[in-house]
Amino acid sequence: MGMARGYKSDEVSFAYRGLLPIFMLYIVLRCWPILHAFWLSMTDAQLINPVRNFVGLRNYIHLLTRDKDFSIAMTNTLVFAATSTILVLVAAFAIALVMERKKIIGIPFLQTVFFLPVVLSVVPCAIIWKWIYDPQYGILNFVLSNFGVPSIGWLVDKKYSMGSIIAFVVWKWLGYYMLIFWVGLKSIPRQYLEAAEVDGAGEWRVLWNIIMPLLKPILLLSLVMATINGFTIFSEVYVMTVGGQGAPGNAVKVLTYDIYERGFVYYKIGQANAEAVILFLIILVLTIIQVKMIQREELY
Amino acid sequence: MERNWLRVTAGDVISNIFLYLLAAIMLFPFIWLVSTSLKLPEHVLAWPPTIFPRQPTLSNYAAVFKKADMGRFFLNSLRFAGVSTIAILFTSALAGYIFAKYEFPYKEWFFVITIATMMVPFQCYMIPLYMMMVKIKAVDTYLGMQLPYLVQAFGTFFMRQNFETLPTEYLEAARLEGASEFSIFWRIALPCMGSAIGGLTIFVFSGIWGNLLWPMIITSSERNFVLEQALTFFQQRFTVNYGEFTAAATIVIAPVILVFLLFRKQIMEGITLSGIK
Repeated sequence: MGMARGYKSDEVSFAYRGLLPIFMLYIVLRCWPILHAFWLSMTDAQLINPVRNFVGLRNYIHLLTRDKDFSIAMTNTLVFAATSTILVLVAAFAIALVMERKKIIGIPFLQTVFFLPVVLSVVPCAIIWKWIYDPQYGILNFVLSNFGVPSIGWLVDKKYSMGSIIAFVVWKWLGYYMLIFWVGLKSIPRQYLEAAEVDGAGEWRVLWNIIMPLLKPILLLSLVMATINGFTIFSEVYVMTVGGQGAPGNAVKVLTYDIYERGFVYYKIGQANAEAVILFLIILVLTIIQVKMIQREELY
Repeated sequence: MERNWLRVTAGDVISNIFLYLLAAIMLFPFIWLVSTSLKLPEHVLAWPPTIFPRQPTLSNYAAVFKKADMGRFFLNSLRFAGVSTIAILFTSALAGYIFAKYEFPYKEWFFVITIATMMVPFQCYMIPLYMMMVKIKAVDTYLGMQLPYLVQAFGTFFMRQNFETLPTEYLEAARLEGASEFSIFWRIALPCMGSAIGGLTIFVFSGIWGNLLWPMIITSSERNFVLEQALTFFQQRFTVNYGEFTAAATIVIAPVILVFLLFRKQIMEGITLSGIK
């Protein structure tokens, strides 16, 4: 049938010889573990015990109705994803907008500074912030003490730990979204803006009526991307809980951390994979929204 | 936008002040990091804290190198990120090229299955992956750490998008001259992809360099640690000593900052690859 559709035999043979080894890697290293996760989520598997029984949806029902760790992790993840996404996007957009609309000196320098935390890996950055947040000797408390604010355990006090980690993550990722928005703002045709200015439209009118509609695709895609990143965050949160001055595990426990702990600390493989599948379903919904948005933009 | 620099408004001045203040806040943690790392233990916890060390010292750095084999961790990170980058670039370029420029039976199936894996976050299949490594006895080995990072769906997708813009006439001309299919890929198609390859290199390398989760799961002996893991472990094992912690963190980020300042534009473009189409 291949030849009938106009395939050229030597090209087909090269395509298969080149693609099949790579495709096999995808099957073994991605597809198989993913399917295995679905299967394991419906068993009572333990990491050390080879005997596995099929339990249907029992793990899911357990997690969704009775498991305290799961509901804590889910609540924390929702709070984290929503707050960090909104904060980082609003701040990044405001900075990009000011950079593009006002007469700013040294934009390359400013962008380098804002982007620096994005380039650096998480753990050294977390060390800096833990030291800044230190309840006894931290510089943040010192600065605040000048204004009469009593000492606060930014990470160790569970009232503040999530907020402190969110502030760290916003600092870490601000430059990334700033750059994306800035590139978007630069691509707006100049005559649109000049026409509006000639018409005497004020800054806010220009923002609402011209910039926002034109930037809508980029803003929406960034929103989905930041939300997905928020749901799958691990390193930033985990590292902030490590060591003597770290945040208490439960106060900042997120889904990825709970999957890790359930699987590799408590060896409850079935439950851990059920939780992983739930996380996957959330990401799937977000991805479908993202793909739909890309398709709609291309139709126009 | 082109601006008339002779007409500067109050808004412009305030905007500059605002952005530079913010930049100072963004930079402050790094200044504080280096400053702390250069302080004597008794000055680290001094109250009120001082920005400039009273007696600058390298003793924290000496202590870090004495307590931990930083050179080894650095080489482990370099090998992990380097091999991953080369492997992912090669598999992504070849598969992306074949998907973009060849017609063969069941092509759509191969493509959809490959790209669909992009939607599944690593955290969702890390446990089965670990169990696979247990089966092939690759736990706590370099091999086990490396294996999952030979392919990357985003890379394959990205390279396909780029190869699609390459005119097919180039390839046909080479074909008429009798070049083999692989040499057309290697000698003609690939060299046209300079900027795409450069961007993907930075994107993949920086992603793997900062990877903490998989190395943490798969390795347990210190000799196999990558830098991120070693730094985490350092904080777990030793009592809180911010002079030494900040020295270790400075050692880890200094080369990265240097590379960033040298290739600023390329790195900023490369890392935002998945965000800007």
